[in-house]
Order: sequence, then structure tokens, then C-alpha cells
Amino acid sequence: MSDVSEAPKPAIPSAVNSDVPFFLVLGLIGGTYVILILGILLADLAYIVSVDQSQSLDVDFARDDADRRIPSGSRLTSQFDRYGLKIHCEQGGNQQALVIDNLQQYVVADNPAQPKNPQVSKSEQLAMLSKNVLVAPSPAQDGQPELSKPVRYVFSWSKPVSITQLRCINIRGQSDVTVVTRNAAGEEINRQELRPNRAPVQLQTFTWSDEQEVLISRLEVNLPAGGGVTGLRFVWGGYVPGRWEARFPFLSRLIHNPFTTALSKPEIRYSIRLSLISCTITALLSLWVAIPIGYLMSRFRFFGHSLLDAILDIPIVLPPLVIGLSLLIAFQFLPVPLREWVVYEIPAVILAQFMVACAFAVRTMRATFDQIDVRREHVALTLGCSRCQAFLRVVLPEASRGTLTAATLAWARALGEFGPLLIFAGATRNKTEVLSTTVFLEMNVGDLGAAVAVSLIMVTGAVLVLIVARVWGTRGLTI
Amino acid sequence: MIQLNDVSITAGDFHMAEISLTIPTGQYGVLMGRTGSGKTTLLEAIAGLANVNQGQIILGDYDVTRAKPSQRNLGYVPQDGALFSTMSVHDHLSFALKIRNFPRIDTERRVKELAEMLEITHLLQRNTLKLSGGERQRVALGRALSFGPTTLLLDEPLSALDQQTLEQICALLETIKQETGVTVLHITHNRSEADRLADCLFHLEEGAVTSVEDFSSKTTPQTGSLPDGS
Repeated sequence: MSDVSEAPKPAIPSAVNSDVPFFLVLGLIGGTYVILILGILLADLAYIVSVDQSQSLDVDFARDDADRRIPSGSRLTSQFDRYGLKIHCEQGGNQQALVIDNLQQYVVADNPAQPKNPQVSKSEQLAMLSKNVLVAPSPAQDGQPELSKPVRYVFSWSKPVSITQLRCINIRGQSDVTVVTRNAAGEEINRQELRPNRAPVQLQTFTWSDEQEVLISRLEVNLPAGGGVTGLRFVWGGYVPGRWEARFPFLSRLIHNPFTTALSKPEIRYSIRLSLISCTITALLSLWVAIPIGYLMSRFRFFGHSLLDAILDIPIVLPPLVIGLSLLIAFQFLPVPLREWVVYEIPAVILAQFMVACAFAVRTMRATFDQIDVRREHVALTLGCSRCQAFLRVVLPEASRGTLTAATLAWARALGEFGPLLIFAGATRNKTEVLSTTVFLEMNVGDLGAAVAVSLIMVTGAVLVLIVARVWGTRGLTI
Repeated sequence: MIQLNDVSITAGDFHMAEISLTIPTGQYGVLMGRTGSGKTTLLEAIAGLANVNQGQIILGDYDVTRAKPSQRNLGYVPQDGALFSTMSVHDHLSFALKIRNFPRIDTERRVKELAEMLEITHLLQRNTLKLSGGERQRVALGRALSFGPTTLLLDEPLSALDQQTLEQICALLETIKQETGVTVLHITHNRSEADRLADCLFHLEEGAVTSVEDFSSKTTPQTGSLPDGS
């Protein structure tokens, strides 16, 4: 506070320039990294929220909802519920059940005297026929379906889809194939007459124009006698909406996201369960080992102390894959029953996780015991405790926060373990698949949505563990 | 009685040889010495927490040179108390008795008695983390005295206390001496403390006890003021 009447005093000449640039540089360098960390997590989230789940789908008429093969000649009911698709056949005004059949013998008979279907190659035919063919519903005679009457197939979806392709096989070469599409209100959108073809086996393709996105909920295919349908391909939303969802489209969108899709897969549910169980067992085992080692290393100096210290760090510095490989090799020397019980089985998962996670737990427990004043133990000894009593009654309770930190750390390490698992436990679905393996497998099959969803499940687990360690654990011990 | 006969101790690089001192039963011994002179190590040796190379340590009627800390029947108050952070004050006072499987009723009575003597009855259910310096010392003293030891070892119990608290704890130490008849070895680097409390005073210099002063014939000092020896 300077006196107003006085002239303002000149500022002290300073050799030091402003400190702002220094802190600016520090902030910029550090900030980049922090933004990167948060950015990748946010990107995952954004992907989950924004991902378009619609996918192009080839209906395999010969497979049911549980992906089991339906024998040729079976009558179909509603095995396409999972696509929200119903198919029925109208013949002479009556709705009838459908028959599935393999018409390969009709189609691919290679008769050089007859002109081939010019539109499709033989390999293409085979590929399509492996998806099987819907034919007329009459009961089979002599093992062959009745193909003498014209039929109309009606495909209807509970939620509109966009149809990209449908192929019609017209075995006896008649013309008069008509394809009609209708929208949700039942209005006719498109009617297409397929041109007759003189070939004895006609394979005609109906392709809905992709230029305009028109959604249809009903597709009618009129086939002449002897006709069949195969290769139905359409783009759909990826899930079957319930009845209420038409009224609450936003809620519906919330419910149907890659998370729920991933969680609905039994193998992913299995891997979540196995991960939780194996990580917990690993964490407990790690504590079981880390507490004695940490205590011994912290309290006592003995011959080979530093060497032992270095050995305990090996799992941390070793490449994870090498640990897996070494485990695999080590088990080659063990008795066969033990090897068969462990390798490529669930015990291998736990052992592989334990090898790495335990090293971190040991480090943490050692730091914990280092921080506990040895005089407290001394006092306990003078108060009448044996070494064991002093450890159990005084040291362990004092180490409880550090123990929690060690456990959570081991748990988080175990959750992220992948390399050793892949080598030592394999990546068998529904057997040794844990969450990290799931990410790998889902990426491999191209299901990015599921991979991201599972990644986010792991992120959630890791963040929970971080919170537990920060709130209840010892600060400064977390690695 | 605390008696050391030609005790030599090695702890790391530190070496002390042929320490001898005697504190008669019920007397208050004060050991003075500069920081780093080995006072604490000597105390730990008496408590059985540091290895004794040679010599003899006698507590009461027993040669305890090779005995475990738990067998020596002594109360140890390290610097700053070293309270157990996970226990309440009550747990501290009852800890040694629980270890000895005392009956519950006796334990409770003993805890009550101790708490009254140390004036910490109102703290019994408290956690030790938020206690003041004086309160911590009282709890540490209570813990060390709970099982009725014959010997009490105090490692700079007054070092981090303000003047008023120091007065109170000093008075408390005198009370303890009179009421329990325990033989005390008190370590300090503060002359005025020593003058006030000591029956016999020892100086530890360069790893050896150099001088002994015996005040045991003196009368109890006037309460309320410290002699201002410096």
C-alpha cells in the first residue's frame, strides 16, 4: 500500500524474467500426456455410444436360432426370431409351413449340353447353396420335395430392414418370378419382374437399390412351380426390438449398445466370470506369498539379501511372453497328470497371472513393512509378545492399508495379463478365456464393438481398483 | 535393580565397549549423552532388542543377558511413544494383559486404575492418531506399566513437549516412581530434566559411561518448578 500523494515508485529492476513461460512449458509437456490418457478412454466411450450396430446379414436357412444345422427336409417354424424375421409360405391362399432342402443335385448338375446360367459362376452357386434353399411346403415324396405348384414366400420383419440381395432359383426354367417389397404401412414400394431365362436352372438375383435408403418390413416372392429361394441378404439394426421400444426409441437405443450385446454372449459372460474369479484367487495367493517375503526382506538382513531382492524383481523386468513360455517349458519336466491338469486349463490362467502379479504385491508389501516403525514391534516384544504374536497383533494390523494396496495392485495386474496366458493357458473360448483374451479374440473375428465393450469393462474394473487403492490403501505405494 | 557389567554392544558400525552401571531397585536413573552417543542402543540392549556381544545384564534378581524381550518384565517407552496406530487407548493399556491371558475383569480394573493415575480416563475410547504429544506419552507410559514391570526404560520421553506439558509429565513420572516403586532408566540430553528427576545420573560419551553422580540422598525436589541448570 503506497501513499497516494507520493509519486509511484519504479519497479525493482529484475534480472529474472517472468516465470510464466517455465510453467507454461511444464504444463504443456505434462498436459499432452494427461490429455492422451483421457483421450483414449473418451474415444472408447464415444465409439460405444456412436457405433452403428447395423450389419449386413446372410440368412442361412439351414441353421436355427442356436446355430444348429437343420436337417434337409425339415419343416421350419420360426427359427429366425433372432433376426426379427418371420417367413411363411402361401400356396393357394393357405399359409403353410416351409420346407428346407438342399437342391444341390438339381442345380449343380454339370450338363454340358445345357447352357449354363450366365449370371453366376459355379463356385458362387455352391457358396449360395451352402446356405440352403427354401422350397415349396408339400410333404416330400421319395425323399424329394414336391415342386409342382407355384408358391409365394412372405418374409416379414418386426423392425424394418433394408434388403440388398435375394436370389431365386428356378429349377425348371419357368418365368414369372415377381418380387414385391412393402413398407411398414403395407404399401407397395417396389415390384420387380425377373426376366425369364432359358436355362434349365435359373438363378436370378433381386437387388434392392442402395441409392436410396428405403426400409421395408415385408418382402413377397412369387415363384413358379419348382422355384426356390436362397441367399437372402439384408441390412438390419442388429437386434430385435421389443414391442414397447417403438414408443421409446431413445431408451431402446440406450439398451441396445455394444455393452449389452457383448454381455448377452455366453462366452463373454463366461470370460467375465473367469476373470473375476481368477484375479481374486491370484490376488489372495499373491498376498499369501508377498506378506512373508515382504516382511522378511524388510526386517532382516541376511546373506544373499540383495541377490534375493534382485530375483524377486525378475518377473517385473522379464518380457511377459517369456514368462509364459518358461512356465510352459517348466511344466514339460513335471509329471504328466499334473501337466494335464494345469497346462491349457484354468489353473494355468491363475498360475500365469500369479507369476507377474505376485512380484508387484511383494514390492508393495515390502515398502509397506519398511514404512512401519520397527519400534512398535519392539514395544510389542517387551510387552510380552513372541515374534509371531507381535507380527499378528501389531505389524499386520498396521500393514492393513498397504496389504489392501498390494491386493488391488495384484488384482489389476492379473486382470490385464495377456501374453503369458496366451502361451501357457491358450485362448480357448469357454475354457481359458479371460477378458484380455476376449478383446484379442473379438478383434480377430472383426467384432470391434464387442472388443471395445469388453475393454471398457476392464477399464471400469481397473478404475474401481484404483479408487479402492487410493481411498483405502496407502498413498504413494501404488505403482 | 538395573545392573550392567562390562557390556559391549555392536550395532552396525557403532560399537560400545565395557559399559557398567548400576541403578538400585526403586531408583530413578538418568542417562545423559549427546545425540549419537549410543543411548538408545544401550536402552535397546537392556530391553533385549539389540545384541549384546559380551558382559552381563541383570534386572532385579535375574541375569537376563540372553533372555528374550518378553521374558525381561520391563516396560519400554521409545521416543515419540511408538503407539500402535490401529488400536484405541484402551487397547493399548490392555494389550500386555491380553497377551498374558488375564481375566477380563482384572484387565478392566487394571486399565481403569492406570487411566486414573495417568489422567487419561476420558481418552480411553479414542484412537491414538489425534492425541497430543503429552497424551501420547501418557498412553505410552500406561502401556509400558500395564503389566506391572519391575523396570521402566524411557527413551527421551520429554523431548518434544512444550513447557507446560513437560511439567505435567515430569510430575507424572515422579508419581509413577513413588506409586509403583519401579526402577527407571531415563534417557535424555536435557540437563534440567536430569537434575529434576534423577536419583543417579550417568553420562555416556564416546561409547563409554564416563561419570556417575548420585543424588539418591537428596530430598524430593520442590514441585512446580524446574531447577534452571543448563
